[in-house]
Amino acid sequence: MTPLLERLGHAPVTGCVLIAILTLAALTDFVAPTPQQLLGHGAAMGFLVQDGEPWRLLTYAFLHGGLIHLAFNTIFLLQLGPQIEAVLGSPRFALVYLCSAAGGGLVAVLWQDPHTLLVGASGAIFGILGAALAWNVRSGRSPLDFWNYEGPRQLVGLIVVNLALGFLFPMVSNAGHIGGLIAGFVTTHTFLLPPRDGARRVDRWIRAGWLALAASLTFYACEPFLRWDHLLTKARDASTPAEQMRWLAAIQELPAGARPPVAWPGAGIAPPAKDRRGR
Amino acid sequence: MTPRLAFACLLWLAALLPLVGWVLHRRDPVGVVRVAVAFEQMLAGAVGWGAVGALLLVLCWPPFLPWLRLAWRAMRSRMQVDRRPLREAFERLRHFENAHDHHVAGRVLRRLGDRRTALPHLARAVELDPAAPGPRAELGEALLDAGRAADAAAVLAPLVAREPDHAYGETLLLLVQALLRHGDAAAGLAQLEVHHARFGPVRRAAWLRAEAHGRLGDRAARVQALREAAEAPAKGTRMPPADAYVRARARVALWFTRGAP
Repeated sequence: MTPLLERLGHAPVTGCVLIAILTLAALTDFVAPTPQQLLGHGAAMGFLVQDGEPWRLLTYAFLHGGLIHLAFNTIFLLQLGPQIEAVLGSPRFALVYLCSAAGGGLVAVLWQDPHTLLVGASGAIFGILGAALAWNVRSGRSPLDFWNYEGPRQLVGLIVVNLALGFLFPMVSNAGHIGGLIAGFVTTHTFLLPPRDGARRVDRWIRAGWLALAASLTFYACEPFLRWDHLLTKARDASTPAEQMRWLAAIQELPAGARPPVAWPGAGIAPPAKDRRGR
Repeated sequence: MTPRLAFACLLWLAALLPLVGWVLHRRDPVGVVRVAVAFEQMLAGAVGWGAVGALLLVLCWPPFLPWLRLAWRAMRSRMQVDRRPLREAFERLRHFENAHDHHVAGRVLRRLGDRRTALPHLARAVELDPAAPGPRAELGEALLDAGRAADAAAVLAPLVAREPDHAYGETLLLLVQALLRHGDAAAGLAQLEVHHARFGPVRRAAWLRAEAHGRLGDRAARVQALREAAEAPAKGTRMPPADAYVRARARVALWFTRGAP
């Protein structure tokens, strides 16, 4: 136990993240938390983000869906976190961790069914792997120079194997993994490490572009105007029958796989606002 | 337009798409959904057919399959490397520095694919025992891999002068490669003559000769050398992957030199 505590003593952010994860696991249920417990503590779900709870894109990363899920992510975090934190420094590591968690949540919410529950630190852990990869890409003479070393090649192998495993198990959100990986890589490569060949003006536009893309996708996660549940909400809240028909027609234009999984058309929609307003 | 600028434009375009879509959907939700669905189908089709086309192109490209065999063999050999000699060599080097252990460490690290870490060990091995042919040949190859052709030629030339048969002429071909990459095609050609006189026609040597003639601007000799490199193997014989790769590359090079004298 002593080496573990020693390791965490040099990695305060990893330690804090672990404490938060374990505390939330204790508050929900270590072994098998119910969906209600997880949602009550900040699990992400597409339609809840759309309903004005975007903070769930971050809080889901501190919750876990059971003992095995918790054990896997905790072990990974214990192995990788202190090493990468030592390389990047604690404030930068904290930034990478939070950005990766948010990136993973965002991509998962946009990719998955809006009613799928999303929990787990794996997106953020993939972000740590992405940060390590970015550090290796940046520290060589050329972007692919890291391939001449065994350690970074093993890192790439670890990422590929874990992504492949994610595709094999249906309950694993690989979209979250990919989102976290990209977010961790981009945050480290574009924002935290100095450019290899000197700063250029266009780099500022690239950085601003990434920020704009993140903001734009977050906006879309809150206002998913191409998703059936959002269009259905609009139809429900429509003030006139004509407007309601417009939103319902938009749902019918969606491809078969993207339409609501209920009896159609218009099941369960209240009469238009004319009656509700008493006119 | 530079690639960075193009990438920045692409990022901004991707960032603006959801905002533009949201503004338009307030006026015409059906139209926006139709456009998005059509765009998605077009993109999926382009990516799918593009991937199929690229795969077919790659599979039809003659050097691809031999390259795959080579890569597979390299990966297998990398996974079968015994790391114990490396650990033992490092352990001994902590107490007593010697050329043999540096050579072992460099060789095992190279076989593991850790080329850059191997280089200082091999350099030190040569420094401690300049007369040993093994570390010198290995260092030359490592330098060539690292893109330091001039240094590789300087390391390999004394070895070839002393022992031209080292590793059955492999070192001679390494020296030729180093000279060609360094830009000394005439010296490379002279070494290839020595190689031909000692070992007869070898496919890799023919390929290197074609490269040397190409650098010297002798098109007829280049085509002749390429034809030698692209010769079909005798019936019933299976070429080693390295030879198959060279032959495929020579065939492709011949396609592009049609009409040459």
